[in-house]
Amino acid sequence: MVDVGLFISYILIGVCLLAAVGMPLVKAFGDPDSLKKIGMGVGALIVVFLVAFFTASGDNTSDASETTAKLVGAGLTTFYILAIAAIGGIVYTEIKKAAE
Amino acid sequence: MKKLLTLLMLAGVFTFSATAQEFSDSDAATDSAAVDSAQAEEVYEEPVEEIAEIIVPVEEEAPSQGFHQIVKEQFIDGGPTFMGIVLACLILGLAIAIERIIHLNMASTNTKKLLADVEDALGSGGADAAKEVCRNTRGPVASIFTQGLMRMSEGVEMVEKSIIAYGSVEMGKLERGMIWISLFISLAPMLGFMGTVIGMIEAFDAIAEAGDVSPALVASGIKVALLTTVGGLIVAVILQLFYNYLVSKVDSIVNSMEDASISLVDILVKHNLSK
Repeated sequence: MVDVGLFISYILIGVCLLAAVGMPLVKAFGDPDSLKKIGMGVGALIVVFLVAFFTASGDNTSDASETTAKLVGAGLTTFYILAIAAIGGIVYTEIKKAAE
Repeated sequence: MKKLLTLLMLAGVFTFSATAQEFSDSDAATDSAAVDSAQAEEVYEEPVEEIAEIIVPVEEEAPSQGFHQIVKEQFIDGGPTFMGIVLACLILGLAIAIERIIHLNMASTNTKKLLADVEDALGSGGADAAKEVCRNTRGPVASIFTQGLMRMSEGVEMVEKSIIAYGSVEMGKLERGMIWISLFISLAPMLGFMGTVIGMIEAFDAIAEAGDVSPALVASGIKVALLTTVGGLIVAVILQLFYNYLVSKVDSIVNSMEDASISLVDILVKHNLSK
């Protein structure tokens, strides 16, 4: 009885995910303009992450592997870059508005 | 206005100093309790001290060892996979926030200048010149004006109607994507708590396997578990700040939109009367 319930929930979760992710993608392929916009955003994010990944150092004092340490460092660096960009954007526009 | 600001500042200073006082009091209380308590009670007290130890180095010892290095170590201690998901929430949320910040700041126009330009153009070149002015200006206010001016030949009532209809379309455009930031705000602490509960289960498994409750075993397990909660909360705090900034920005733009459209209708009525 528990098996049946679990299987049903697995299947439903899978179907839900497929529908939620797949349907908009299929729709987006018919509308290349919106796809380009999304692609640009995702591409920019990936570029930032790659830059962070290659600048991150792999050495760490804990027992995690080097790749893990590098990935964690890259994630944190990405966060720093994005946070600085966001705060910088806010400060820049507010100052510009105040100067007008 | 100035009085209000001073009052607010004073209130803020009092609140912060009060909470700081409370924190130091509670710290002192837990410390003395931990020292006094017997072996059995120490098992219970241990986590409190651990949390203090986690939080203190991140904030106070940062200059000596490098902020990044400490954060990284705590991150790896808390379990890279689970913390990674929380960090991914933060990164995605920040990316959306940056996109919104840029979009909203491009959307805010100098409505006074635009209104003056439209009035001048209406006086000199009629509706077409005014439409041209609006087309060359960026932002939702200008596109609402364009829509309104296109209906100018059908009377002021029609203009008002189309301005209201198009205004809600523009409002939807301003708020697009905000729901994702609020999703990440609620998701990050949830993931953090989930990580904590999973970590607790693991800690209890370790206790069950070892067969006895040694403080070291429990403390390390619970410390690791609590790190994910801290991560989730930090993510939520950062994103909430940006979210509220964006919400206030949208509000101010919508407000200026409504204000400007009323002024536009006034200008059109005046223009029709003088004709």
